[in-house]
Amino acid sequence: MTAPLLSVKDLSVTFRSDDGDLTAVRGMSFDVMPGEVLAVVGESGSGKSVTSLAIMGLLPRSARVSGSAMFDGRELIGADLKQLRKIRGKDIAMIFQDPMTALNPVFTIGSQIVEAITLHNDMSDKAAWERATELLNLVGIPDPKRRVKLYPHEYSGGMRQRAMIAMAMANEPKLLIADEPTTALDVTIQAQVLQVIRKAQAVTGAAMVLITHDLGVVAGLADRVNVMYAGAVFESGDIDDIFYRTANPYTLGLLGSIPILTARVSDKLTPIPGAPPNLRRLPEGCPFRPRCVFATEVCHGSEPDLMAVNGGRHRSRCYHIDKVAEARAGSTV
Amino acid sequence: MTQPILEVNDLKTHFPIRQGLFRRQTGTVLAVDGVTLYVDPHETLGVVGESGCGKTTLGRSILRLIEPTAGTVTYRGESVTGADKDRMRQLRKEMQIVFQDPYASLNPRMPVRDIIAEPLRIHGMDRKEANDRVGALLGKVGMMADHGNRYPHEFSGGQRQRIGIARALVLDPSLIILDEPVSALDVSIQAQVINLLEEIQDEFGLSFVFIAHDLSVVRHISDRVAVMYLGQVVELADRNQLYETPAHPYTSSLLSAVPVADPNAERERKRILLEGDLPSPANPPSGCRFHTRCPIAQDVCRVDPPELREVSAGHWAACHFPTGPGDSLINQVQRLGRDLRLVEAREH
Amino acid sequence: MTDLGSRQQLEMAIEAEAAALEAEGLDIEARSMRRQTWDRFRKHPVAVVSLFLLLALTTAFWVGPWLSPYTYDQVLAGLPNEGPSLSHPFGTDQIGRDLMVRVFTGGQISMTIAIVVALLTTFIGTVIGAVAGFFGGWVDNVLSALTNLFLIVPGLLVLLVVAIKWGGGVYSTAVILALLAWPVIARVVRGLFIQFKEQEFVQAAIAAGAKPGRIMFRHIIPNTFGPIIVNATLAVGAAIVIESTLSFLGLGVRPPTPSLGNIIQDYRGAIDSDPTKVLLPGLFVVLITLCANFLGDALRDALDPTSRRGH
Repeated sequence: MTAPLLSVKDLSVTFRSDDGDLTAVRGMSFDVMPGEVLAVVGESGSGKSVTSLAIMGLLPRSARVSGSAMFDGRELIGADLKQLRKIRGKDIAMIFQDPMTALNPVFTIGSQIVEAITLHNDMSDKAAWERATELLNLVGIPDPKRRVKLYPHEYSGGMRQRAMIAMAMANEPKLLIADEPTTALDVTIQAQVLQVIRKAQAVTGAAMVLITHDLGVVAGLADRVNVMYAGAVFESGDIDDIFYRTANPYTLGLLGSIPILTARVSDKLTPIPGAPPNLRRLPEGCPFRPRCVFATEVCHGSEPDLMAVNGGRHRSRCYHIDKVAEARAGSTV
Repeated sequence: MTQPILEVNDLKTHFPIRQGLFRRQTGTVLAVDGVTLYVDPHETLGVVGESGCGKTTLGRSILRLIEPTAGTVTYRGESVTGADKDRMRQLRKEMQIVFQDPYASLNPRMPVRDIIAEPLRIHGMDRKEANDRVGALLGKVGMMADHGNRYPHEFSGGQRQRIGIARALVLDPSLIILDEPVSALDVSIQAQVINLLEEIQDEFGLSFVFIAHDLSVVRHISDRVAVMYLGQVVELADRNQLYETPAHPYTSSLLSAVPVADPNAERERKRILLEGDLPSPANPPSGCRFHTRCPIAQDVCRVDPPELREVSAGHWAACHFPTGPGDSLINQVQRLGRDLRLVEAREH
Repeated sequence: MTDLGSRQQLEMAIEAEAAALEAEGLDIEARSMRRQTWDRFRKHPVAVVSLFLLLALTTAFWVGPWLSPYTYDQVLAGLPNEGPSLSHPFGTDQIGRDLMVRVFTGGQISMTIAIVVALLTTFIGTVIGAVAGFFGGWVDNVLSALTNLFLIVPGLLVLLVVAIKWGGGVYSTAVILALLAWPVIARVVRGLFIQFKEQEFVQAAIAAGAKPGRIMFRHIIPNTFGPIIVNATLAVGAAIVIESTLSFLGLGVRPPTPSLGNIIQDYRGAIDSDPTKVLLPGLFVVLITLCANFLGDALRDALDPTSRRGH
């Protein structure tokens, strides 16, 4: 069996604030295998973005990070800036939701890609510019020879996102972290960009951590899924496990909350009641318990561990895995 | 036949683009450019489209929050566009709006009770009576009466949207324009608000114009759906007709672009990727506005703008080559011998 | 189960409390709002100190001269240039007037000017800015042109000319200062109005049938209080300083009426020999300015229900 490319163990992130400490990520553990797409799904406040920022060392200083993230044999948590810089943009590249904030408005797209290339490679300027043009062509930007010389504001939203993907691919990273890469885009443009991401991943063979709230995007892109709630993984498994053999009440609730495009008759949606918990004051026992239809006495005690479902890689943080699976099998969704 | 509650006829809302020292008009944004539609009592009409298609401007023009440039809006047979200021104020009791942004749509300086009571106060109800009504409404939208004393920032996005809905209901309107009411909310909260909207529609016998970019949500909540592209309605039909047998190539492409939360379906799906970006509504293409991105466009499409025509009973499309029943856009593209930009969704 | 029970109890307690408040009448809301505002204000200890200092200074300036056996223009024969003593805590000036009475009366006059300036600039600036921002179009064009005209006029030069012709009185000085200061507030308020006019909560008020007056006064203006108050308190500070400058140049309040500025002017020659007599009025100028600014900052937070520091 191959070793994981990224192995996160017991990662916790706490922010200090005037209103008390806020633990955004509570003891996360997961592996990313080479070449696979791991989707991290969750709603706002679930800690899905903070996790990736912690791995990249991009959190503000007020954040306390503990635990371990081994990437390709190197420890990332607590690594000094010099080491991190060698990895960032070279072995691990990021794609952000808003390309306008990630691209520098006063430099041309080309010069920013060239900088990304020459920072980590011994390459002549001319060769780097050729490579930048080639990358823009690869992500489907029409007339790349001309557009490589344009500034970010001269690109449309979809093109900017493509340019950022091109930049992320520049050094053939081993791991791509994409944080809500298509959330800001229109549907037809989203479809184009998702296609480019698939292509980018196929061409470089990179593994990918895809952070999103959109289960549709997950279904079309991911191999494996981590479902996050209140700073912890609640369900983890292969994509079909998560969608068809759901074993966690929260995941089941999410699936019941989204209307299906192809559904002819629209029954009432079955939303999750209540609201996500305040991270400063998590409820006792299972954090999802106050919203959970399966909750019983046992859920008030201690928070359940992430437990194996059927012995495989499929795991769920719930005392009532069997009941959830039963309910899943009974539903038509 | 019942009289529609709302009729919109050839509505146009154009914005001048002014530039330079003397603010000379240098162009016009055709945000809404000739929209015709109607809404029946107790019906939900969905309006979908991508950014810049004019759906939000359409909603606000119907309520004259933005003055339309031309065309008419009629409410229960009475002209809205022709109403004077006093009459308009009375008509506003009948037609309300819920906004997208649950943060910007509530006055941060007012406690929730005053926010919801404000429309009643505007129309002259005294404070005591207004507050009683607000208390009852808070319960209807799933909040507690004592929430009224708090300020908007003390609530979550979903709760704020409930407050916005209560404000829209307080004047007992017949029609509510819902402008992306759930797109700023998390998935689990979104479903709560959708269910709430369906409940209040039944209870109060409301008609909705539901404006959104999420096609799944629109299919779920709407009876009929209008698809907009660059200021115009390109297709309008009963929701199952529209989603199952789309006639306009834009609708087909839009539907095929939506990711579906079903991995097996995603693996089998073939989608048509539209090329290029949305053109600017300040400078829309000649002829059919969709021809620059259309996979089946022909010469006539470049010069002759198609009218919205009834392709089958109750199914309208603005296309020279609408997809027939039993046909598909993919087949049409193949028959034309064009380069198929079909994409297998997953490479497995 | 226990947890659920306690939550229900809590909800019942809240409802009971609400009912009790309800019974006391409807002004409860307003009072609790005021209470919240005060709670937020208290989170700024420096501002609380500033508030009390300003109150103390005001009391001293107005009550002090009234209690004093001397008047500000009373020449005490044979007692010029006295140092501090029990009967004259600040000493006396070159021609034998009690300096404490002069400084306090001067403070009274300087503060009056500052408050009149702050009120006038805020009023003119808010009205012009609000009308320009709210109505837009040609109204905005005309008012903005007027505002810019006042902004580009070299202020000190005009002050000098006007002061020579009409200066000397307390109120004429205040009006001249106000006429130069309002455009700053007008610009701020205009920007705020343009910004808030497009906000959805204002659109909601229009959709409910609100008339322009109601939209302006009930929905937009309360949201502009914070920046307006900060600018008003900045104007207080600036007015004190500019008045002192003008009076120092002999163009402000004309002697024998004292102001903090012209007292400093009287003693500029004595800075080496008798520095306390320059520094004392100078200290009051600095104190009032600083306190006003601290107060303004805290008021902005206190009046903003979304302010995080209030919790």
